[in-house]
Amino acid sequence: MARMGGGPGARMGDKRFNKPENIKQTAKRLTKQFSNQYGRIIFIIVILVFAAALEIAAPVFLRDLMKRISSDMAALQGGASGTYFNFASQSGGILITVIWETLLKDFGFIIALYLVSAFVKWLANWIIAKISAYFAYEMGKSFKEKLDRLPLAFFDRQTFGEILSRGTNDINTISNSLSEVLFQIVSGVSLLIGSLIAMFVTQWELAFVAIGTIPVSLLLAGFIAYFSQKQFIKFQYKHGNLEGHVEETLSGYNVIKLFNQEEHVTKVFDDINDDLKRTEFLAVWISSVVHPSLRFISNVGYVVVCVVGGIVADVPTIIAFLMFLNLFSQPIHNIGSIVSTIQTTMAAAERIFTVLDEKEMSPDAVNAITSEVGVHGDFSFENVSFSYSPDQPLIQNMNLHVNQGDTIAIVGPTGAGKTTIVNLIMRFYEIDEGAIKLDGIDIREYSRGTLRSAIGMVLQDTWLFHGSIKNNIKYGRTDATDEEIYEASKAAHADHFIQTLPGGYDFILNEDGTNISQGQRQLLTIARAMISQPKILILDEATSSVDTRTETLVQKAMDRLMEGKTSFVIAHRLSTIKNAKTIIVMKKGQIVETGSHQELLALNGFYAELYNAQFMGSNPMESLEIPAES
Amino acid sequence: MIKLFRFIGKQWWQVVLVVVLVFIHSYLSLELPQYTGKITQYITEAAGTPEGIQSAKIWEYGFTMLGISLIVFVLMVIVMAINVHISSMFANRLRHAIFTHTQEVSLNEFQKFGTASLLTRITVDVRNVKNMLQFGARLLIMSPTILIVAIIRVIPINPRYIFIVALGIPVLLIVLITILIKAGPLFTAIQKKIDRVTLLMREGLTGVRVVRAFNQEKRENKYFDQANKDMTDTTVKAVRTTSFLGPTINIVMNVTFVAVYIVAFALLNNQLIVTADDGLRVMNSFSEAVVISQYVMQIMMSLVMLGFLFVMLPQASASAKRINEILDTKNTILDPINPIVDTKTTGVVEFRDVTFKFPDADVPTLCKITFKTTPGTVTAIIGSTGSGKSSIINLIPRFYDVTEGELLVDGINVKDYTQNNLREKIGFVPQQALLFSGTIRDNLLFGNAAADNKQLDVALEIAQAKNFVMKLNKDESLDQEAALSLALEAKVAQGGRNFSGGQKQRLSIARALVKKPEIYIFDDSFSALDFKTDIRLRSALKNYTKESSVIIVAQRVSSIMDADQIIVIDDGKIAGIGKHNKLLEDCAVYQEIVNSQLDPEEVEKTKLMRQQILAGEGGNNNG
Repeated sequence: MARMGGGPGARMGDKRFNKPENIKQTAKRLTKQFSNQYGRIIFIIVILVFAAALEIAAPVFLRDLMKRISSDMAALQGGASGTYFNFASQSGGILITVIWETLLKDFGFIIALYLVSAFVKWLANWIIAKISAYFAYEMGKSFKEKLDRLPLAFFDRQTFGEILSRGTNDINTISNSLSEVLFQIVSGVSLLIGSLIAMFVTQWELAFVAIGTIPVSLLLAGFIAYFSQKQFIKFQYKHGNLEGHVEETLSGYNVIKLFNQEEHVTKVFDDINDDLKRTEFLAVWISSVVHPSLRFISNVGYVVVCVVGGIVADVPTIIAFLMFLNLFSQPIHNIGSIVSTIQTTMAAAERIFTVLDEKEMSPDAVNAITSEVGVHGDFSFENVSFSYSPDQPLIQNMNLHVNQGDTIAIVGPTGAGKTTIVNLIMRFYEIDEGAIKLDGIDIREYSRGTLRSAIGMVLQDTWLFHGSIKNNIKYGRTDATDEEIYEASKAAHADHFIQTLPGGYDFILNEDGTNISQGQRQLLTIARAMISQPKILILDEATSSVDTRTETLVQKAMDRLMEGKTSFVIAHRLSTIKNAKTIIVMKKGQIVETGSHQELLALNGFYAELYNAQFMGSNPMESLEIPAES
Repeated sequence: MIKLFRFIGKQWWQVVLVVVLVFIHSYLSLELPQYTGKITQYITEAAGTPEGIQSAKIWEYGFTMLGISLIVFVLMVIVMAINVHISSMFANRLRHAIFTHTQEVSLNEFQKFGTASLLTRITVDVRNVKNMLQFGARLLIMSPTILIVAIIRVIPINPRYIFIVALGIPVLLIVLITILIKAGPLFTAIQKKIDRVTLLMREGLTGVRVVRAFNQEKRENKYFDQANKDMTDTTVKAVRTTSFLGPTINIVMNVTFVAVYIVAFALLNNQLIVTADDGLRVMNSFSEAVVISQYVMQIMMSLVMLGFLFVMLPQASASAKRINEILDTKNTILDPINPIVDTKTTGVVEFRDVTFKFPDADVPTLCKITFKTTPGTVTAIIGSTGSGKSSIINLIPRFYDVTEGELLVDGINVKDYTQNNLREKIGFVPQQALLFSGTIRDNLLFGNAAADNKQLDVALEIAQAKNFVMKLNKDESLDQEAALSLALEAKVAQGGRNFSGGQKQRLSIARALVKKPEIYIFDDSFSALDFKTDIRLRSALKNYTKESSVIIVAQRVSSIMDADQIIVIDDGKIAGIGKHNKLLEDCAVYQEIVNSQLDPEEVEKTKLMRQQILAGEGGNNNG
């Protein structure tokens, strides 16, 4: 942004020009999704065709009616009667009287045609509303349930935004476009074909005029669309530029003010803004020309019909034809939007199916252990190998034994593999080789649910959900009593600050829990873990965001919690793990040193270096010159 | 929303032009039915005459119609050009106004909105208002024009036809308004429910580990299902409510169309034809009906257009409100009318009994803070999380104003400087290093746009960043100077993502160094550095900054142990002030902090190791 070049993150806002890979296959699969609604859908198609037929029939009947009226009028001189009018000779002239019964009956019939057609279309709309809404519901449900069966590796591969957009935007896109596509295609095709037939049958010369307008309209619309499309793509790109610059400027608000860069930043903005304005103008104006152009062509057709009709046919035919033209041009005007709707829908469907096709986690073993009784916390890693990606080996042939009740601390620089150990114990990932055993039994023989409820976990990532503090703490164990909640909260030193919040325990945390500080969030997650009464504890940087004084206090509660239980503690603050029974020092996925704090210091190796560095006022664990993940 | 119209600025004459052209356009497009009528009339009349129907005459009418259509088309294209021009200029000006305003307001106002909301307002909300201007304005003119002109055309033919319109319009309006009233809140509700479904799905993603760790998958799905169902039901309701609109419009239009004919014939009923002209008129009543039915259709369509306008209105209105919220936000930190420029001293910061309270808080964050820093000294501020350390240093560049007491820089109250001048004196390195997309040079020049390569070189060296920077864009063939130039062109991604935490911090420090300010403020800026780099950096810094005041905020005692004065903050108050040894003796809070971080013997060991490093490594620069 400093000197804006290509611009960061040029985004394709609404993926307008996303071309799907394989339309046919996706379309087939998409239609299968509706298999339980086939009956209703066919019904809708039938009645929509019926409605279109009625709409076309109306002008035909109207024309006949008008012809008869015309001939009545022509018979005026004779002083006779017609179908709808009585002409009676009277002194001085001819008296006209309307034969109301016939007239109203025939007009009534035409009105009836319109009424039935309108009713039928309304009915179709009514039915479709439910079908498309419930389609979205089912898809959303399947999607969410599928996510539960996917391994964590899937979530690591992409941003949340990506997945979220598929589960929400893409599903919405499909359900919104469903009725539009169905209606437009069915009605459109019916009207097109039907009115063409009607026109040919009525007056073939005029029918050719109508047909003549098709290629012209399509060509014109296509031509304009081609130019405007280019501009729209440019517009999206430049708008992405603008958004990128604005977002970066707003995020770096402080720094900009501190370095008096307001003027500079505004100038860059103005340049992009002005550039955007030009493209915006072109894109919108060019595409806005489509409608008047199509109207103009319709008008020309209209004119020609009038003229040729005037020469070749009679007034009723002209009127009927004008009505046919109306019905006929609707679908043509809509072709452009239909094509793009279909494209977007297919693209969205493809994106959803990709997720639904993902490989799932292996299910729990058939006779999985489902009871926590008998879980003591004796762990052993036997020749365990694991890596997140095959070309970057992480843990290789690791062996470790942990006795029940021991506190094991794991230290090492970032990327050494500490959190990985945790991930493997919790079976968030499956190991590649070897076995992890709990109380002598391979953890794969426990059901995942049992394994995880026996282990209490406090993560560095303080995830809390949108809800009350009480409910967030209760997440640890849904049958916890209020008393137990307050106890755990006090032990975690969270009670005091909770009381200072409006509403106390009923205070609602917002999304991501950002209305309390990071340190406070961490205390809540500790309370949450405490209340789950686990047999085994995993503490991953549990107090990294809490200041050292508070940490000392919380430590006491944590110590009580860890008493007698097997605990795995990962910490950057070496002061918190000095008292562990065994310290495991990891580096690049390997255990390089093991022992108690005193023993390791005596070794004067890697651990000693880390430890001493800590007290120089810096954190060697984050010193590796590895560029952050981008 | 009317308030925003001031952004149309000098283009008002164009708006008037659009109004006039749209008026002409509507008027002309309503001429076409007349010609249909003329043709049908001619045909009906000519059929009875000896010459019969002359195609030439019909062609004549035809060409006129074509001509009018062409003019109508051209007019519309011109109108659209002007219209789009106006609205894109409008959007441009509006965006500019919002952006510049965000640059002007102070931190407090800014945080009220947040980055995401401001971004949405400058993009989505501006778009909504612009669309309203673009379409709405046009519809607003076309609709009544067509309505009035059509009615005017109809009346001379026979006022009785107005009755049909008079019947159809209310029916249409009633249905339209009822649907809008019912559907409106439903659509707002849908939006909220979509938000909730999205929220739940997102939480399931961000918290996937925690959800699985606590075996809450089933519960999460239950909540999601509830929200999903709720949203679905409301959607069905809303869509079904609006489903009445289409058919109603259809029926009203078609029935009216037919009714015109019936009225035409009703008008004929019991008519006595005496003269030939009478007869002609009777025959033409047919053509009249044709013409009128088309006008009636137009009237109905224009009403429907107005209906759409009303649909757009609430959304555009809401957006306009959000934009006005920003534009109306008053800046609370203002420059003085007669700012002071010259100062006698440089780099002296003095807090006199400063109390500070956040604008909406009840309890003050800082209470009676008093201290002074002088050039050539290092002042450290230490305290636990939430004690108020950051607030103290945020006051110096006037991100907030003090509530009570005085804050002086170089003997002058900070309020008496222009903010620009004040910030020129300060080199601030924030806790989270933030770099901007561009090149390294761009980022460093933030400190001083006129700095030359030599100055950048020095800054990078002291910040211990030169080594890793020189490794970027490496070209063996170049000499030192050219190599540096090339290295400085290395790309920086947004936020500095392509560098590690430690590297970002060093670049952030270099940026401040380039500025060579009178006052340095380091907000816990050395935390991401390893100990060797930290020590070297601070010793190099010492020399470079010896004419400036240095203020360091830290969490760790070991970072600040040898500062010239250490200020201990506890709960917003100064708990102790002095050098390390003195505080160890008489400041309880300081003792607690130290003890929570170090063992007593380790304090000694630390001193020894530090001396060792400094002695052993000299002035080596190791990135």
